[in-house]
Amino acid sequence: MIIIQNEFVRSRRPYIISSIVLSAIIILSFSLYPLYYSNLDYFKALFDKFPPTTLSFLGIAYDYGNILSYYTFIFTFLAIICAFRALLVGMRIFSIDNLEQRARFYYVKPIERKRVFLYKVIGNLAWLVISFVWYHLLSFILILIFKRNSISNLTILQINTSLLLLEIVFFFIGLIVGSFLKKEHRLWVFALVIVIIFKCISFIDSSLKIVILRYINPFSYFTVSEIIEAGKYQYRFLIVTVVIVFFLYQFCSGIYENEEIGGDSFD
Amino acid sequence: MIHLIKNMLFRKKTYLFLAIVLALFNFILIRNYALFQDGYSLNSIVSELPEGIKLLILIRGYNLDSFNDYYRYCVKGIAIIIYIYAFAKGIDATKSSNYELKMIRISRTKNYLYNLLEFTLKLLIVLLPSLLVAMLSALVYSKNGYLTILYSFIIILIISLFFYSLATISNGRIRIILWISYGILSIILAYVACRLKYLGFISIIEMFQYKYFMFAILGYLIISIPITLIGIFKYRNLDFK
Repeated sequence: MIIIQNEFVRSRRPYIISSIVLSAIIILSFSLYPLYYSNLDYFKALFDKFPPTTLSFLGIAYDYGNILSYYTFIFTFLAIICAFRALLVGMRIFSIDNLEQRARFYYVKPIERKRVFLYKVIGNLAWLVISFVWYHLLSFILILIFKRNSISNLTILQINTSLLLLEIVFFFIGLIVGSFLKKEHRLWVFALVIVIIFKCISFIDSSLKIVILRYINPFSYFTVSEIIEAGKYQYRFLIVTVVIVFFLYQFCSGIYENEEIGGDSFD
Repeated sequence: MIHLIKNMLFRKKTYLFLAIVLALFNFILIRNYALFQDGYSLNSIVSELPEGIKLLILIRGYNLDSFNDYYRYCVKGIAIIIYIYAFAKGIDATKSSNYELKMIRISRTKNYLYNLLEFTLKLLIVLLPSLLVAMLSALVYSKNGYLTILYSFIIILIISLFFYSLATISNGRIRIILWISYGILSIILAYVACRLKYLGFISIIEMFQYKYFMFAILGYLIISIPITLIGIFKYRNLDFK
């Protein structure tokens, strides 16, 4: 428990900063909604000039006037920020032991490495859940304030939960990438590049309709337009998410168990 | 020498990521153009934009429904990323390369030239996949614009080498000031080029737009040679601690 607490306290900064950034973006975006709604005809005419593939890539749904379709557009960019955050945090799990000399703390505990790793993951996942709850409450209140017609609360919850699921997948991808980049200090560059690559795959997937790409790219697992249309997640992608998370966790746990914790700084 | 270059080339592999991203960007650019050719018009979207925005995003004077103009416009973004990368590498070269000097006893002039060679190789590794992907995508989707793509990559290569050399001639804060002032100057020239077309080839941002860019390329090559020589001279007298 003390390791979870320690991890929880020491990892707080990126989560708090990114939550503040997300909150600022979402408040600013929703405050622009009345302006968008009053100029709906102009935007409709503009969006009709785009091919459907480009529209779906940008997250613009056809029901332009609905606040949920507006939220879908914002959500596309929020997903990128959240994926970046989760990747960065996941990558830091391996390198942070050396950078902040946490190994000095963990190494003296009479506990298996696998457990230390599990507690570190739990400490970070707890932050992901807390920031998700904060984000969900904020977006829910904003949608209630600005909505023009009735919207299902369950749909909003499902959309926001898809963000949490996306973050969890990227967190574990970050773990595996971080295990190969232990000595790198500029992790944000790698995180940014990985997010861009996955986003590019998203575009290729939406324009060329290659089925296999949907399974490779976490951005395609829970698309908001599909959630709005069907009112539920696609179960196959839920299963894929669970399988990916399980395997990545096992793999990273194995690496953590065998690595030299602390490295030179411990001597 | 080969061992030294191999060692330098694989010490940091960030550029491989850059190569992947740029190749994907190129594919997306050309695929996006193909999507718009299916009964849609990019020009009609641009015409809806306010004049101020058009000037801000430097889009005036481009006919985006033509592949050549579309590619020239979009490749500006890619070019700026590579110029920044080149400038950063130029700064790195005079910071950390004393490591090689200590490990293997070679003259500083040689070391500078090896660094330049290493950067050129890295740049080629970054650019060649993008060039290949762009050519193949053009072959599939647009069926023209091969020369535009080739010219654009030549411009990027030469100007990146220019920026690399530029970064090595001064140090610390001056480099940043140099970079910012050159960037501002180029943006001003790009704005002017929107009004007076023939000034465009002086601006690194707008060079892609003009037929007579070979003159500009030649100009940049001629400028790059003395800058490189000054860079070598300064590097030889640097005090590594």
